[in-house]
Amino acid sequence: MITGKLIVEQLVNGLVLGCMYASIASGLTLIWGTMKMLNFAHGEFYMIGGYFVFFALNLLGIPGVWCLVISVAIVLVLGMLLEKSIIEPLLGKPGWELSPLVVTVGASIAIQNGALKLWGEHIKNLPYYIEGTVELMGVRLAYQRLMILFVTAFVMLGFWVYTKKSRFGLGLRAVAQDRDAATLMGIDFKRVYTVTFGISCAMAALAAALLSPIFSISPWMGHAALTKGFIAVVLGGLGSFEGAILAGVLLGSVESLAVIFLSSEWKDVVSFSIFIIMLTLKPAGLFGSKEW
Amino acid sequence: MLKLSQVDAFYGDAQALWDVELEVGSGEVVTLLGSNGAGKSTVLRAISGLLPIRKGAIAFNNIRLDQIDPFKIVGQGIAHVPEGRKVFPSMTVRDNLLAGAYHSNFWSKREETLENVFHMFPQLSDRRNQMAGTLSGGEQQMLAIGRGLMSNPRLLMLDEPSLGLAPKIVEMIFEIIISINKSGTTILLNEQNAHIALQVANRAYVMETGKITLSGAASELASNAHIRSAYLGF
Repeated sequence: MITGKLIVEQLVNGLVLGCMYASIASGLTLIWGTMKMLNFAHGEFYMIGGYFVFFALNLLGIPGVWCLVISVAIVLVLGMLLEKSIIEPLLGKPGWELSPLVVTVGASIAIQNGALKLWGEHIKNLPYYIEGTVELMGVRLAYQRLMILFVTAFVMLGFWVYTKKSRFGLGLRAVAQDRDAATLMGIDFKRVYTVTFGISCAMAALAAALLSPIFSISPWMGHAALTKGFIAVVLGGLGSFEGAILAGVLLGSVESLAVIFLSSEWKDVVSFSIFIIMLTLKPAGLFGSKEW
Repeated sequence: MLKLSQVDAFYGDAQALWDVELEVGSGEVVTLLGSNGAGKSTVLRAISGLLPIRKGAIAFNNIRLDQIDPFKIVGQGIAHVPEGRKVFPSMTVRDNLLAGAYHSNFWSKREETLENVFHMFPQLSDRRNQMAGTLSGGEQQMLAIGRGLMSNPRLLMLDEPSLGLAPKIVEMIFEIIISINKSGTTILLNEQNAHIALQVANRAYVMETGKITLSGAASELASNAHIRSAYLGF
């Protein structure tokens, strides 16, 4: 029976899912906006992020939240290393529209299979970082889910403020809007690219670290994450950070609410339908080709 | 101060500069004249490192610019105000100016330099929180020049500052260029508008299809018959 309580519960689930999509999407759109490329290995950094939390928990035995921090930090560095090794050499060579995409597809395949070989194909489970629930306005909410909402909101907002107020953020926005002019200002665009790529991967890892206790981890978990993240990026408008977040949250909410009326197998149909409708009506997405 | 020797530059396989020799002395206003496609912008891009050179040398106070990373050149004291202004469209006027002081040499003094630039360009001060993409052509040109000044350059290079601007605005821009020079900044200037360029310059070079064809004092060139017919229209 459909009650108000059910709707609120699914809405919260939707927001939590939306946080995951928003995190992944904002990383993708950050790379597109700044470097004008698509990172097809983005889902794999999501996957690695989840696995590193698992290993940190089992090897170090420290609380989940610290494993999250460690995992995000490691993925940040790994992302920067990947960019410097396979993306940076492509700069200035013809075919930039496609070459990073092709190279990251290759990286994606390599990382997925590497994970399969090293860590096995079995799905692993992670314990919640915070146990327990709280009751708010008649609805029971898990602390873990509230944590996901707060941490994601905090990080997204924090990063957005950082880009608007800091020197690095100024450099990032300048490179995104006019790379040559930025070079004339003394901004090293290669360094901006490397750090931005790392931050993007770290956002994906954050999403995985927050959500893996709920959704568990496997070597191919990146695939679905990338697909949904990409849909959210297009819905929000390529290159728009605000758009990616809004679209991610909306996508997650709509998916979860649709499950009330349709069975859960249909949730992907709902997402893809929204995707197709948006591409037909307003291909530029919610916030168009807004530069940031 | 600035010396280009035997510079060749290419866009891909197409040669754009042939054996370019050029000098700018400290405190001068030097102008590069020539029609569209003559190679004037290419010279400036070669100096600021946006285009690598294939032969020759570019020296600024005995430092080889062609051998250092492009993003380090502004730190040497050269600011390039590019063709078409190239302001950052989705940033405010204030952020655009601050970007000009990004280099670590200038960042710590940015607020002070910013106030000086606002003093020189009150129109920019009035619009400091406006998005640069919404400014008029003349305002964008002022913004681009102001942004260049944020690095307190010893040499300011301007690429076609009069392009697309109404005559009254062009006059105003050139008055500003003169006053910048009077306060001690050396100027290297590209202009299709030879008339106004020769009024403000000490010396001039003429470029045709990637080569320097003529050079000399501005007053000499202004009375040169070839120049008059080709570039001054009389």
